[in-house]
Amino acid sequence: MRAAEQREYDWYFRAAFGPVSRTVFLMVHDRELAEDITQEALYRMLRHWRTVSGYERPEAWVRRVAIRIAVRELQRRAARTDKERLAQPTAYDDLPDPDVARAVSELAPMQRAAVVLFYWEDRPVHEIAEVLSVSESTVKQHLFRARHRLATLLGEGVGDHAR
Amino acid sequence: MPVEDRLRQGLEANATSFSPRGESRLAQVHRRRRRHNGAVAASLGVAATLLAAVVVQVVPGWSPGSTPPAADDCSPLRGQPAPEEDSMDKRTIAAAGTVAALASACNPAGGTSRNPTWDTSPGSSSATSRDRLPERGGWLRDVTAKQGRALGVPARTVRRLAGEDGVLPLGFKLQQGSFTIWTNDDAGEATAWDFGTYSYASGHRLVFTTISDRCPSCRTTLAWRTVDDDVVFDQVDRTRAGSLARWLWQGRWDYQG
Repeated sequence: MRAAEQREYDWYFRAAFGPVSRTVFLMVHDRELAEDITQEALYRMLRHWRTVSGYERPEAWVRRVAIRIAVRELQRRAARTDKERLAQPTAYDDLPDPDVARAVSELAPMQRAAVVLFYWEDRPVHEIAEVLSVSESTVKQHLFRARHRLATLLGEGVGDHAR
Repeated sequence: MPVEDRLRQGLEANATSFSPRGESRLAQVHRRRRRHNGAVAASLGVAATLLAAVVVQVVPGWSPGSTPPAADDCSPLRGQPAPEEDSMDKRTIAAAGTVAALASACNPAGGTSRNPTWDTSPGSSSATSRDRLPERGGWLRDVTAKQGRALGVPARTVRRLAGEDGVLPLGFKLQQGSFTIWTNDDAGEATAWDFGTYSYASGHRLVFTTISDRCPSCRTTLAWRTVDDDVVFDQVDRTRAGSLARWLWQGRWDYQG
């Protein structure tokens, strides 16, 4: 990698690390895992830098990779037995809003990703569909189900619909 | 409260409570790098000042009042590789401030012959009655990503400089024969974009000679005029990366006294 490319990669690394790791954290609720996933995504960007640097938004590529890794990780965790999960409890009480964190963790992995991208990152449905490699109607369905599940868990009412 | 609002508030609170260790490590590295750059610039400044002092002592017949050596004669800066125009690391204003001393030291005449002030005589507020720009205060302006793209600046460069909001706040200052142009990023942090020496040329033109490693010895020539206290650069030519220079420089700059 030439010095100029290295500097450009460094710039994207610095720009993407914080925002992406926060988004991943809201999905996995594990600080170390969130950072590991983000670093893995950024490492993949480095490996494919020649290609990725030519994209219109390299940081969007990193976000997509990180979220897909996070979804796979959540799916792996969901497949574990209850006893295994109990061995690694998540400390929600450290968070400012543990109720929301607990409620989000009750959602299926794809629903979590859709909720975080929609309500935290304010991404439009078509962008979420692109990130998760599903159709827009699937994203709307994820959001619809997630909203109702979260409304029940949080004891709140359901308001507006997906954009 | 609708669940959507509850979610937005909760997610925001939880996200902002998370400060990635990697990010703080990056911030530390960044700070160390800025300090290092500042120290390097300071030592270069000292070296250049000593060099200038030696020149005054050694070269017979030369004095600060005589014809100054060309800006390109700044020997400590010769032979540096010219990196890609749009790939330079941003430098801090503090470093640039130190480099201003280097610039004036490299060009000993700068301090005396290039210390213009506004012509404040009555009736002097017309656009071209001034022949020098003041070395106090500075000028500010905003450029947009749209303007950059229209001028043919590479999309990646525009995106990187203008950020998410598509607006790039800029400032420039003349001081002791040197110029500095800086940018403010989305977080409001000012970083020097380019710096070097400046001189006036015929035809109401200003010539900036870069001494930063962005493009060592590159010259940017700007046709300038004043409107009230503001300055307008109408025509911009640069040794290379002309479109980027036009995007950054061309247009009206608001004077800040």
